Amino acid sequence: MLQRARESRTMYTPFLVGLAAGLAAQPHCLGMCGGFPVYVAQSPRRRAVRQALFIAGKLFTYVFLGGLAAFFGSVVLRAGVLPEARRLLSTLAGAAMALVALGMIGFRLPPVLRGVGAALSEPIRAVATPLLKGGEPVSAFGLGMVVGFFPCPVTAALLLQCAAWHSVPTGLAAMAGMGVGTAPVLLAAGAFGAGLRWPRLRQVGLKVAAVVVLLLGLTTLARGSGLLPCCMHANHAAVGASHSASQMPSCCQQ
Amino acid sequence: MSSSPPSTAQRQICRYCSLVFRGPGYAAPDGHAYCCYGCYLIQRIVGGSTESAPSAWILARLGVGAFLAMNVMMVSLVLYTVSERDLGANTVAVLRWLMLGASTPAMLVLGGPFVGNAVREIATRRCSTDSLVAMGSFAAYGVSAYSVVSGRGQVYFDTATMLLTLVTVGRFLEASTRSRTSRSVRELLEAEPGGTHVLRDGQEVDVPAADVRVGDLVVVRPGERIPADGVVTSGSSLVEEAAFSGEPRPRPCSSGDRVYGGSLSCDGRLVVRAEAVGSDALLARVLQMVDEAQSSRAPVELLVDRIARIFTPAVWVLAACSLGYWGVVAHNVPKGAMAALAVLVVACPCALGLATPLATCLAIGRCARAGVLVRSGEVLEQLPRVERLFVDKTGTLTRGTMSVARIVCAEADDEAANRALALLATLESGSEHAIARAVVAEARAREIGLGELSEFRAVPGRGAAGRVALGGRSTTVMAGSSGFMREVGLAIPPALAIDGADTVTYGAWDGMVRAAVVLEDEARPEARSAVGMLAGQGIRVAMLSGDRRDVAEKLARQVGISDVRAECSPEAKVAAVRQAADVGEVVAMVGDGVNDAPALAAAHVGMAMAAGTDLARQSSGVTLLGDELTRIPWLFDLARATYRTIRRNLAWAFGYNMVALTAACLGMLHPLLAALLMLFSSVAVSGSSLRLLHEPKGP
Repeated sequence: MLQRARESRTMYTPFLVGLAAGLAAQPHCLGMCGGFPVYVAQSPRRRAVRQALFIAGKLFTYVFLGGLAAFFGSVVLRAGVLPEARRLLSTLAGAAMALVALGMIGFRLPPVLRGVGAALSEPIRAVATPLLKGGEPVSAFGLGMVVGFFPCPVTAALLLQCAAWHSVPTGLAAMAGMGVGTAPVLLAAGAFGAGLRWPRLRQVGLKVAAVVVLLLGLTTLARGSGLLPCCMHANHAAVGASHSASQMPSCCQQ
Repeated sequence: MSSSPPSTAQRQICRYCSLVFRGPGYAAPDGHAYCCYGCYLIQRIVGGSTESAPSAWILARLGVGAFLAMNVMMVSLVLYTVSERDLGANTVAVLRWLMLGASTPAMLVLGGPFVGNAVREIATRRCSTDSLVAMGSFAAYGVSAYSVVSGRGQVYFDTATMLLTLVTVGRFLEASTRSRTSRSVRELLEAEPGGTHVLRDGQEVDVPAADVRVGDLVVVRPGERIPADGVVTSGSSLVEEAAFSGEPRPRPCSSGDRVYGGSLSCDGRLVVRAEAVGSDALLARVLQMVDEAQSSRAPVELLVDRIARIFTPAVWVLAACSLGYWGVVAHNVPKGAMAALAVLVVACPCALGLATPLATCLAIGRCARAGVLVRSGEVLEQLPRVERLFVDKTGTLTRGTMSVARIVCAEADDEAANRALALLATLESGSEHAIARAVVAEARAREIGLGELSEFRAVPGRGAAGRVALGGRSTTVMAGSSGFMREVGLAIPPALAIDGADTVTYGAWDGMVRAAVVLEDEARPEARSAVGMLAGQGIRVAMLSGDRRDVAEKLARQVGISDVRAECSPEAKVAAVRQAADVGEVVAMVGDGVNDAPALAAAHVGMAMAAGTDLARQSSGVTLLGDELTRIPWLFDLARATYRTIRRNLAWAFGYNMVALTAACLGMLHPLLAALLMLFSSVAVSGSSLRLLHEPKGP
């Protein structure tokens, strides 16, 4: 009982990390997905319901992806394929976040990254297009679910982090935080067209967000390379009883 | 609409993606033909011309199914990674019942169409992916439900539901790709006008375009499409023919000009006398040719079909072997069931089936949009192998619109020149050759009246003869090359001997050669760059001309061709083509006239200019609707890109199946991962083929 209480308390950490990433990524999110809530809010009937359903659909997909990423992380770790998998994934996540931040600031990302993003977007676009035609509120939820799959670099970075954490509940919590963190700007975009109307404000916001994401990325990178302790130390200690010593991440093995 | 299942050999067109397919496809409840379940889904969601409203029910069904499957998956992930001791036995039991509760509607919603189609497939004694998917997923669901109810055993609800979700999404994506394949053909269809105006007793009457008859005078207003092939009788306008010729620049048309149905009158009012309507019109014939080309099968496609026929039963045997090995030898029935399921799912021959037809259809569709009609997939397969290209001169490398430079007569007076022109123009009015058209045009320009022609006889590549009645007198007139005159036993008087590199046609009547008509024909401006591009592709270009050597060589120098075969009769052109083929070269021939038709038919790939004769077009595998020669090197580039895409697709599909099947048999591949890989494989093949929509650039 005591252990479960400790576990649920430690679930706040990944949630807060996800929330911070989501809040920081809002200007980026507005640019990438802002058009969808505006489109969803165009119908005068049950506008609020449709917007809420869109956000809920997106959050649901994030949570699903978080669980999936953490599961794959645990499979890699259990299989012992990569003993340093956690560190590697953390490093990748940190590097991805840093790259995203540089892209937000205005640096040109390598063409291969943009190519991969475009290639992944194509099938999702194919599924999203018919959903845009649907006028029912349920379509807004479906659209949110599909939009959640768009290859967003911030999402990808956090998913790598979830994989590094290799715990499904942790992954679910982190991505739920991310979904909640990105919700305000999408709701505002739907309700007022905010940001879409004030491009100057959006640009400033984007720069501020870039700095936050860069800091998050560098911290994650430092943790992956062992320069900083694992932020999930407390969580690992709490669930340590269910792991054998060899299954524990390297940071918690001593 | 009949809902009975069509025979497997019947050729049908998918209602959504317009792909021509054989076999039953997806037997949809609405009675229409669909090539797969994905196309049916999208058609129901986005609607077609008859159903514009989105189907909320289909959307809701898909969304609810995917939502439930994702929930089941998340619960499963928790159960996979958190031990029963940590969760507690009661919690685990509750979660398992929850998964059963969520899976049951998901299976009904997502699995229903697969089960329905599987039943129909079994009824028609066929077995394809739908039956494999239905059997696999419902087997996983059944075993899991039994485990939950009995309180022991493994559950595979995530496998059962996500498998259906992934396969459904995969079908959806495939259908979406195929619809882009047929977009080019749909654009051609959009050029068909719906209604038009016909002059009846001097009054404009609105009629459906389908009701226009040959001989009707059709009024085409600015911005309207011309409903039939015909000749402009009054008015003038810029006419855009891009819909089927690929030529974006509008052409000025006025009285006497030929126009084609489907073209757009840009800025003026035209009255057109309809000469070909319905299936006889050019647009209908183009669509027919594209349809036939896309439904024809290239040799590589037939080979893949044969392999696919063996592939499906082989997969069944492999799945049974996996189940047998793991169940009987290794005493691990659950692992055997999972391995067998993974084999069935991962070996879905979607990628194999898509590899060739998708690339071929895309290439043929893109050609059609560029005004290049490719008759079949086989032609497209031959094009990359072409090593030598023979090119006709007149009408191909040149504009083909010759003009009369001067007329030289044995008697040196103006009246004699006009009389010679009247006789020769009357004779040439029976011919379609570029020289003949130039002579007739010159007579019209000089307002010289023509006589009556009878007993006309064309000698392809040489000249023509006939009886001309003019000014109350009838005489036998012959026109043609110097060689033709020699063949009929007539000598050319020294006064008519023309030196230099000009095209000359001689006129003879009353038993003597009495006139020489000197003609000019300009090289097409892009001919030199087209020849250069072909040379850059490693294709040896040679000119075959019926003209005199000095004339042919002069033009060859202008366009950059060094291999010139002049004074070629149609037989000599055929011999040149056969000679090259006999030494093992793959030969293509481009031409436009009746005299080119045998050589076009003899070449491995014949290419006819659309402005040429019907016979030339019928003898060719490729028809170039516009007159832009740079489309020839572009076509070779596209064919090569298509061939590379097909090879890459097939290599991927075979390689993927070999590796994935081995992993599945060894129990190293979870069915869900197998479904993901299958989806990825189909998307990879589709994506690779879709590059043909943009590569190579141009024309």
